[in-house]
Amino acid sequence: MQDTIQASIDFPQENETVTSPCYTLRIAAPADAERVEVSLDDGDWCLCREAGGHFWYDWSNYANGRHEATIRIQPRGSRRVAVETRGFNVELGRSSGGPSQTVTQYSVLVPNEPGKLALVTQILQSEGTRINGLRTVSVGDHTSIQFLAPGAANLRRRLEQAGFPLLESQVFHLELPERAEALNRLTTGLAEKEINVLSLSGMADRENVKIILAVDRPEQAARLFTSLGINTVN
Amino acid sequence: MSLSTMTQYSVMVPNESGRLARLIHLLARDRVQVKGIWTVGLGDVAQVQFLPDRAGGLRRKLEAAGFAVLEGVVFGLDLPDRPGELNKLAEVLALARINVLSLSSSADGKRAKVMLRVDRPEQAEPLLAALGEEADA
Repeated sequence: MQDTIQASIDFPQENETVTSPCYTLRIAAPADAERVEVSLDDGDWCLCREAGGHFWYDWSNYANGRHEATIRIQPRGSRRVAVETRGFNVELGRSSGGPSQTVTQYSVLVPNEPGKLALVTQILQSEGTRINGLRTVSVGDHTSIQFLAPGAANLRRRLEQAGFPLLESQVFHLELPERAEALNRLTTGLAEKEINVLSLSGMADRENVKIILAVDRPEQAARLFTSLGINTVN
Repeated sequence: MSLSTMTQYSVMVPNESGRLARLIHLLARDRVQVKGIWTVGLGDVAQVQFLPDRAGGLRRKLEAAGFAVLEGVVFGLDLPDRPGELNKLAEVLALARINVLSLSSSADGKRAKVMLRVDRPEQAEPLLAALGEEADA
């Protein structure tokens, strides 16, 4: 890639394993780029769409195995083209978190302004989506709205059509007794295994605390939860 | 819908394995039950926000253990767990141009609990109370 053109493939990351039957590639490129295109496995060049400050390409109907994505970006008013290639894997049917205890968490990025949360909740309502474990995280002028929405098949498409960039990640949804010692046992167990907590949120609900947890080593965490007798939320 | 206010504690810790455990261990040692907890990783630090079941002397103990502590007021709401309830809440706040600083919810199929921080709590409180009366009607 020529170093004067800022462009890269954000997702998938190098050697990432894609496990879902549909995947949206995210590309970082100048907002005023003349063309942003992607080619999968040396196939035809396909135009990417712009939303929320990034470029996106919806990919589906792919097979297990090693794959390669190549982007080419032509900045406005330039004849030069930036190219980057990324190798990754597809393993359909396997959770990206590895263990079967993980569930999909959606993250929608919106400007940190009054009314932006309502734009997202309107879409959730119109889809009749029953959401769980929602939380917002604001950093500067952007807010990430994160939630679980089991069985929401059309949600991704609706949100992206409305211009909301959306990411999916695998998290644990755990249930602990509402006792001070229970949370301590969980976090101490993670610390002893040197598993770092990427994010954790939880709220007491009658006699239990439901925890949504992302960690850097989910396979090891799943084994830990099994050994500690920690239940996942169905 | 019930509406309550609670004190939320926020502490910053290094974003390394074991740092959250140290904080939780300190709370457990004092038999403090956590009613809600949220972490946000920001590069090499992480912010841990939590709602203790009791606050007596907690800030002093956390500070004595080396944690920098901030406190803030959060609203606690109890809503019916059905599609559209969260949207009503978001639209009421949006119409009043009240910005959501943080929101988290948990549902059990019947009721949904929501913890909410906003930029203008004085203006938000009567709106949230009115929303509650409407939900209960």
